[in-house]
Amino acid sequence: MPEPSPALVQRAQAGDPEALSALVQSQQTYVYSIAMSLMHNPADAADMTQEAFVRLMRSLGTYRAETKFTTWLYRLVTNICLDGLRRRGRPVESLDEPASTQAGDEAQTAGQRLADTDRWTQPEQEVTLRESASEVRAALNDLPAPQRLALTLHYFEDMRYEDIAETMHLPLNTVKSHIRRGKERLALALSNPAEEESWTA
Amino acid sequence: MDCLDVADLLLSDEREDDPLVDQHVADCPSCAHIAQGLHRLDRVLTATLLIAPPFELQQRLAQIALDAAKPQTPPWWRQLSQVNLTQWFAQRPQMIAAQGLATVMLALASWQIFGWVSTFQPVVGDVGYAMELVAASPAVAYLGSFQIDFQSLGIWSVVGMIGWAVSENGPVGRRIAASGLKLP
Repeated sequence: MPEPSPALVQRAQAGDPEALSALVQSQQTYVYSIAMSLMHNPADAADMTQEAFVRLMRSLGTYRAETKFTTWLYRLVTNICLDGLRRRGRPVESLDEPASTQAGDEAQTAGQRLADTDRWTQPEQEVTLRESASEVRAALNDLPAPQRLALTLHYFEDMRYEDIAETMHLPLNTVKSHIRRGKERLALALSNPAEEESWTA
Repeated sequence: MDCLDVADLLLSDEREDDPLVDQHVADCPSCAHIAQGLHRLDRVLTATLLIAPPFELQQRLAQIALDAAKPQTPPWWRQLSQVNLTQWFAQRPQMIAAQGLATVMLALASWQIFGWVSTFQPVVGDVGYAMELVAASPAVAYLGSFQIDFQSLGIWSVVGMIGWAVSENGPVGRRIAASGLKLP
């Protein structure tokens, strides 16, 4: 469960060492995953994760439980990563860019694009998703940042669309669109090598 | 509902309560295939997008948590139960004597004040009598005997200000120090 209990958060706010350790342990994978999805680079992601937890420890007392703790924390990490990209002079993709401008052809629906792919529509032909981590990561890296971040948050346990929207400061429908487009592009890229080559090109 | 609509819904993750979609997927091999592929994609992405931090980073994060922890102070009632009072008093005879003396003085002062207060009988509505009581009170007598020599106070204040001005922190003193003038 990524969402820590209110009692654990309160104990951590009071400075209880066990609660602080438990909080860090329960969140480090999620925070690092968000950092990886935005920074693309393990060293930078590690720096951002460390900075995020240092800032978390400093500002934990200001958390007032008006939003979910994880939403508050993931928003903090996202902002730190975007600042980190700016500081490093790397291009920062705006998270609120509409999904339609990034996914290309608007005339077809997602279902049409997916159903049009031969491999998906011919049951006799085995669907061979290329599941090696490096290929999936390469396909993920080709996604625009908002789609990648939305997908990352989407695959966290218990992260609802509403929470993702709050974390990313985006309207709910935009988030749904990012997730849908991201999955669609990954499905196409990972099921059809020619398609993936066109994406990476 | 045709295959395109179903493929659209399968992508959207919002089909769980839609029996029509489930029925279509069960009957249509093509859509079943897409659903199966998406299910596998979900598994692959769950495994790929959730990345455990490297061990060194985990250690650094654990250290950050430890550094942020404050020493836990138990509540005062729990601290009291842990104190050995006999030993505590035995180690502080001067403090006990001073506190005993302070208690006696406080009792005497209270007794005195109680005596003053009980001397006067308040009369409601008689302003003249009330003013007489105030004039006769020890507080007024004390204030009346307290004389302030404003002339001396003023002179000594001026002397103090001149002293500060010529000191090394005052405006004159700083100028003297800056000019390099050495006093004999």
